[in-house]
Amino acid sequence: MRYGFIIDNRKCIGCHACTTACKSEHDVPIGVNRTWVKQVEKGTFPNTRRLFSVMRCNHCTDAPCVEICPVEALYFREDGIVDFDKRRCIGCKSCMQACPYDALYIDPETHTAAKCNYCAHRVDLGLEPACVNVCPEHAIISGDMEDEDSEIFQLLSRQQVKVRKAEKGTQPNLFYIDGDEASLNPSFTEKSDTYLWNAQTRGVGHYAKEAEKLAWSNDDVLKAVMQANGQNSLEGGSVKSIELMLAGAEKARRAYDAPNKGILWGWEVSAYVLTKAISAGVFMVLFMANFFNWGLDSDGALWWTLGTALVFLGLTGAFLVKDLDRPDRFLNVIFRPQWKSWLVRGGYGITFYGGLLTLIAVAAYFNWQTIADFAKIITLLLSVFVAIYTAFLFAQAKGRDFWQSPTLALHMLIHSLMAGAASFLLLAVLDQSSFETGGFLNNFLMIGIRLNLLIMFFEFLTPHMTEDAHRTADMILKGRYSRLFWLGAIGLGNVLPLFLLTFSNQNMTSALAGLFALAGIYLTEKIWVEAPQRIPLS
Amino acid sequence: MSKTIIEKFAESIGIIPKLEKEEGGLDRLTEAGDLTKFPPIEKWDNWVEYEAKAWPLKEKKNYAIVPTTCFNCESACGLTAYIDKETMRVRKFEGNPYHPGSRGRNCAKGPATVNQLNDPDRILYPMKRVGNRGDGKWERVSWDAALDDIAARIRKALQEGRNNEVAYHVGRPGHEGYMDRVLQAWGIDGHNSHTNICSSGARFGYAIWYGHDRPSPDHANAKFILLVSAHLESGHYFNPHAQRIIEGKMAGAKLCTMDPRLSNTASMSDYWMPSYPGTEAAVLLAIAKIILDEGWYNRAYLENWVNWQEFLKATRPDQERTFENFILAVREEYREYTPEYAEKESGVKAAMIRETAKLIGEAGTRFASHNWRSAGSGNLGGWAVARCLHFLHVLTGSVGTVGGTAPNTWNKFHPEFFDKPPAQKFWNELHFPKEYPLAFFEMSFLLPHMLKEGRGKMDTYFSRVFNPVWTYPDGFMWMEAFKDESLFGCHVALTPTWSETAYFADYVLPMGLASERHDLNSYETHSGVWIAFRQPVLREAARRMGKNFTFTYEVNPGEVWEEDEFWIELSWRIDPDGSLGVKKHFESPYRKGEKITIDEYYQYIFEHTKGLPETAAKEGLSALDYMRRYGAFVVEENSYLKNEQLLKPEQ
Repeated sequence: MRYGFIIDNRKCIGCHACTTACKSEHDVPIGVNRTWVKQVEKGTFPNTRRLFSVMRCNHCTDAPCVEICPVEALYFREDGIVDFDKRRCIGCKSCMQACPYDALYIDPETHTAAKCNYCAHRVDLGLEPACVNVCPEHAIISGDMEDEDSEIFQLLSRQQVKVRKAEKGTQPNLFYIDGDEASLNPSFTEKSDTYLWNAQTRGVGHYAKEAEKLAWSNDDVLKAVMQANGQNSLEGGSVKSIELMLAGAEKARRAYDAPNKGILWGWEVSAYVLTKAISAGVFMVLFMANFFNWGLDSDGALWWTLGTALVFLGLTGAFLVKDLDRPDRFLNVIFRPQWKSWLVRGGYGITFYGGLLTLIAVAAYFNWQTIADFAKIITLLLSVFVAIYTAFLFAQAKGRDFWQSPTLALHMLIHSLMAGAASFLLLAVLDQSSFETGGFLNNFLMIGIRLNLLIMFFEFLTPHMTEDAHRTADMILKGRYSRLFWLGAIGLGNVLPLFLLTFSNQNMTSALAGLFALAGIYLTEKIWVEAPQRIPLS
Repeated sequence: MSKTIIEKFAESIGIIPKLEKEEGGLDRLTEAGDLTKFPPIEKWDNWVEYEAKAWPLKEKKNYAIVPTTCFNCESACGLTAYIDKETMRVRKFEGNPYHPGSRGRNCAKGPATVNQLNDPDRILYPMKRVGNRGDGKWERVSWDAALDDIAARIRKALQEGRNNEVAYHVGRPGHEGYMDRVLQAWGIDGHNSHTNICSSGARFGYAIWYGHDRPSPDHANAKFILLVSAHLESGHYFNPHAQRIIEGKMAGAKLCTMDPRLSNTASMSDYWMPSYPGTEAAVLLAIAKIILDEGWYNRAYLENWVNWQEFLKATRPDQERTFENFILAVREEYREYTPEYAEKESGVKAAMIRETAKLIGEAGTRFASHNWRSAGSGNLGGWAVARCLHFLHVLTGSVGTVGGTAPNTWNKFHPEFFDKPPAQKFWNELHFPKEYPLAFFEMSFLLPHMLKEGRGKMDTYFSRVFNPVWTYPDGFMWMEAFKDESLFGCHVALTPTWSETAYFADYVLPMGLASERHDLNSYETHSGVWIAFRQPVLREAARRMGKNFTFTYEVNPGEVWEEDEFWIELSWRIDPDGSLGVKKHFESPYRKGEKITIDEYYQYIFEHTKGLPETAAKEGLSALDYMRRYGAFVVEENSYLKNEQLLKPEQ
């Protein structure tokens, strides 16, 4: 048995009855939707029309939201429905990054993820979903797609159907008859301009906690609107790529859409990538220096390393928890684990890494040399894991094409090594006896920066296969992030420290170079985390 | 989903809360994999389902399912209210599968009714003005006090022969003949409506053709559907018509829409005619010309049903009265309305006019169309749109045919009342001023102007779901007049919610929403006749549980009442001793001399509805109980070609 949906666009009149019936059935709060009707107008007068596309969870056979969910709050039922359990959800929003269809939202009342669940509570009684019942045109068809007598089977067998983003390999179980690319493919149309209720940044969904603040002053409202405005538009180069794509076809525009969900992973996530890079990096650099006899063999260096690694690992955890919409449930990651999720794997990695760092500290304190040596080897493996696992988490976020880059793991490893060396150059100011500047650390950071630049070069040199990734790259190189990227990430974060390290061996200049390099890593990660989230998923 | 060992362990030692997995235990209505639309009616008194908000916890909720009708437009589509038997609150609304017009389906406004019920700003108690009118200050009063005060005013006016100073001004009627009967019983010419800023233009165009003032298209069986304006998403009978338009389209009908806007309807059409506003008639005339010139008209129909001889006699007395001459004469009349002329007028391409004319000609008797407000009301001479449109039906003979367009009255129910008061003996010139002899409906937009000119006054004025301050072209004029107590002695606003007009009232009396009131509905949604019963669902649910109430406001939220009972009570108090001759029209047909109850009022109608008592009896129910349970009844199916039926002697 496998339930699916057909949206029959031969019949849909865009009346929004499904939207309100769903709202009523599930008592869905204001500003968020489990199902909605996107309306796109294409062509030019009088050869024009409005297209209606009912958008919702696709109940994918290979649902990325289920795979990425760290706590099994999203799960497959035996009948194919992708259901969720809000009691387990920690509000990490990774499902919202993984779903290529924009199906999930953060419920502003429970602060947990929610979406269409095919009215599982009705289906279990043998009742059609509420949207199917209400539809004046019988344009939404539900049923068992494996039952040859069912209407849905017969339509699927006889009609031309289309799914959204088939290339994602999710195997959606929602099919459109007479679906139109201009409406189903979000990159065909720009997000509409901001007005009061079309951006969740105005205080709904994940942003509900801001609502109170925004409600009491016009100034804040203005700021929020301006911010939301920035969140919506894709400036600069990206526009060009859309024009290219639409060459020959008349430009379509969005006439009606659900509120834009805004940036879901904010500064906490970029910050955690940096602190994690430092925590893992210092250990990796120390280990390599010891192993290859480059230096850093003093007790001081070891204690500084362990201390730095543990403090920044702690910060990493703090940022991770802060990013949750249900921080009170952060323990679920460890205690209600869903092993396929890289959030869980990473969470366990971080936990073991912290444990081993502590073990090394204890062993060093009591001079248990064998234990310390053995622990160091395992810790090295874990530090590499901690440095790069986020790349696999990002890759699991199938909604964001730019994160699917194969260079991302390498990029994070290099960043971590750079962060380690840069941290030592900063520590050298405090403890010159443990860390000597001018020597291998300077060279190490310089090599790291060169490799980093090389990876970025390859990242942008190789053509991005999908339109979304391409648009993200354009946004970074030529669009709204170009200044931050070229001046901040590249100039301040890479070229300037490279310059400083090349032309000076001074303690302070080396430290400065380290500081700039860390800032560069943060800025790069900010861009890498934010930019792909500006590409509309629906 | 099964828990990992880690989770089980962590739960058992209490690091994380234990999440129980509940077994529901409710039976399926269908085989696994099959889905049905509604719980079976046998279970409507006691329907248990899982609460969506608690899911995946299987929290059971016990509902009474009570049918009513939607009141968010004219269509009166079926709704079923899910009343939580524990809290006696409406949890949600779904469709009513037994409603012949809406057939279990609804537009967005149906399920959204629950928002109106729970609106934190709704009016829950009768309010009386404090201070000056329009100051916005109010005090709560009892229904008794409000009724006594208003009744005394009306009684005095009737006693003093000031019958024309009492009026009822309605926005959305939502009932069948109830109010007309009340006003007649009072002996006043007291009905005013909003129609003259709404549908009267279209109505006039139809009425001068066939005496019926609305079209009833049979979209589902048509081969060609022509819509003037956006009837797939708005207009009268949106949901019932939208269902049948698309049904017709899926069965092969071509859809053509004349609408200056890119409406959803225009988008779904095979032919979109974005005519300049006010030029629709030109396109229709051009289509008529093509049909005449090409000989695609329905000769049999025209010969039988059009007074062509009189036409020839009047316009060409010298010609021989043959049908051929008639056609030649009409073609001559239409000579100037070429598609090119229409294109110049309307912007609609001549080629498209030719193509659609051909398809209309081919569709013949299976040509359906609809025109209501929009073009008809928004333009000078808008009535001509309906007139020209109907001419196409006459030409094709698609009047009242399968797939054609019928007079509305063929598809509308006319209730038999327990008492029929005599016609009123007054003519209220504030409604129909003599200088507008062709006014098709009340010249309601002139009311404040005429009052200010000193042409009369309103002693007691009821506005009902009617907001002229906001919706009429000159709201400030209404405000001025409302503020003047010499023009409006007492303004009673009957409304479920605050409005700009209620703000200028002396009494704001809260009237029920769709699920909080009684009404009888019947509309021409398709070929056939049906009735539906709007009922206060909490009262009905309570009745099923053995609890009876005298008045609906006792069970509605706050003291929200309904017009039906309000008018009975008010009428009784206007004439407590029967001396005005009002009281007798509100006496029970079942209990002599006693005040009629709302149940008796509908009992009488349903007992006198063709076929209903028999159908009800088959289920062992009274006619009223049948309607309480099913909420609707099909009086007649397939009401085609009534013009060809032989009349009985009494007709």
